Amino acid sequence: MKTNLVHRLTPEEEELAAKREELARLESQLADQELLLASLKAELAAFEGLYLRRVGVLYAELDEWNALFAELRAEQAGTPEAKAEADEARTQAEEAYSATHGEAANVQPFTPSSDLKRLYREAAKRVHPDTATDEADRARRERLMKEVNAAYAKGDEDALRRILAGFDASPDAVQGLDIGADLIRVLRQLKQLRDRIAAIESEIAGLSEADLAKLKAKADLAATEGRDLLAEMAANIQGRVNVARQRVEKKSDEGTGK
Amino acid sequence: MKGPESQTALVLAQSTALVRKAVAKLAKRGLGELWLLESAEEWFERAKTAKSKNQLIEFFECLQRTVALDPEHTDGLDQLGMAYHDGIGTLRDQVAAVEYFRRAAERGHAEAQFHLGLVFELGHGVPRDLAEGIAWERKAADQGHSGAQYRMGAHSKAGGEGGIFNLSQSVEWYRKAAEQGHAASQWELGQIYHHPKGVVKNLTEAAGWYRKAANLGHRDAQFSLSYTIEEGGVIQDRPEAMAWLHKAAEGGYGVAQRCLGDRYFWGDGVPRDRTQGMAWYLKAAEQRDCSAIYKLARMYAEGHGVPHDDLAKAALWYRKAVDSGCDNDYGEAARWLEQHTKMGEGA
Repeated sequence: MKTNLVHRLTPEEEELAAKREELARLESQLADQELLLASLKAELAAFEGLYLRRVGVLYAELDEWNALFAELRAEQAGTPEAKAEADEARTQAEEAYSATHGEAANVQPFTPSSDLKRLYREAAKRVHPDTATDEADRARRERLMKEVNAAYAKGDEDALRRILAGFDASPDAVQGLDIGADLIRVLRQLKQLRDRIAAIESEIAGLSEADLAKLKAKADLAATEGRDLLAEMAANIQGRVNVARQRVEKKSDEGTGK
Repeated sequence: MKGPESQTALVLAQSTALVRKAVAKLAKRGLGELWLLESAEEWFERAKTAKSKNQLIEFFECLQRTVALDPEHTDGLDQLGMAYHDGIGTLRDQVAAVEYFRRAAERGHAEAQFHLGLVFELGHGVPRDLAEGIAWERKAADQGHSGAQYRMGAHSKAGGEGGIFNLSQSVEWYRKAAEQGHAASQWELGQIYHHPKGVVKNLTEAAGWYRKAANLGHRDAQFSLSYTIEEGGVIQDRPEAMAWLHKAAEGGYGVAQRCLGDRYFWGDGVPRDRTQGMAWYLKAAEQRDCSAIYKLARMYAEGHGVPHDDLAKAALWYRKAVDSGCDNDYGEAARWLEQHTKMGEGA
């Protein structure tokens, strides 16, 4: 029984209190969503690295042998068609090489600790740009959020702790006396948060549409059956690499008249 | 940022975009090649499942993968041949069909040998060559393929282009297929013993083969069986004969429907029932049974078997006789129509 209530809230104050509660709930929900999105991206990047290292390199090797073969044939045939085919094969080989020898191929497996997740969630909640109240604040928060995401992807717990420790209480921590202005600000924040949550949902949906995500889903499914899909793919391509190599050797023997 | 620094940044961004594109390409490639990891047999099973669900494009693609993974998968080759021949899940391509049939047939696949024989016989995708067709059908028939045995039986029975007429050989082939439950061959054997040309007429034998085919739902055999039973007194069992006639009529066989109509109309073997008789005549007429159409026309023209003559209805049936290509040698229907139209004009 709240019989000892001394201060009766005005309707505006009640409204503001209710909106602030909703804001807190949404901030928490957004942090969860950001964590989910960041984890998905990191997992995909890690799988991409694994795929490029185990399967991509073999495609690159296959393409290299195919390009060599096409070049030998162009040399021997001397027709414009053969030359065009050789050029095309060479372009494909270079592409595959660039894909498998860049940064993407170096991304290591992503296994976030529960501490890392907790830190990320907390940092995302605190610095999220969509809780900003003005443009200057937003710019600062956007820069910080990038750092938070980068630190999470690298599994850098210390960086997350530093960001949290260095983050000042935002200007909106000081509440104005004007309830009307406060209410407008909170409503704007609520809209920003809702928009961002919707954007994350569609981004997550989009991520799973990518071929790499589909491959990952197949690999994960295979793993539950005790199969290593990437190893199976690698074995298949390795077989084709061997055939392609022999073809080049045979062609080059023909060329030298052996 | 201005100057060389921003230039470098631009080049870097462009090259990053190119690498991202190359990575995406590799992912697409890997995903597109996952099917290579499975066996031909797995894809063939999938093709069968797709077919049973009437997913025809999927069926075709699974077959393509089957033979891509195992170029000697004879079941897959034969099925792919059928898909091309009939245009199942792909565009019809009878030339391609012949190649797939041939690949499977040369590896000893009986069904494909049969199919290859048929396409040579019909000239589908190859110049028509009956001798070549029969040669392939014989290979399949020798392996026990009942469809091919049936065709071999037909060639021996027809003689002429397909080889020398040899009824006992025909009987031999038909019998091989018939014993495997091939209904059309059972019916042919029934015919040979029923209306013999060179073998001894044997109604018991004929009825026996008709009965086998009739039990498999062969309508002509059901009809013939009912007559063999009555005619030969093989078994003096009119109700059984009527039952088979009913079955053939209910199966939609026009001749049987008309004959059943006669039975009811005249009370032959059943209590006389003109309404039933008319109903069966109408069904037979729908199947374009010419005799039934004529019967109906004459009945209305002469007021015979109907309460009174009805020239409008008679005209309708004579018209149908002409339209269905049923008019007889005397041009009875056309003449009747001409005469009555003139009379109509005169009136």
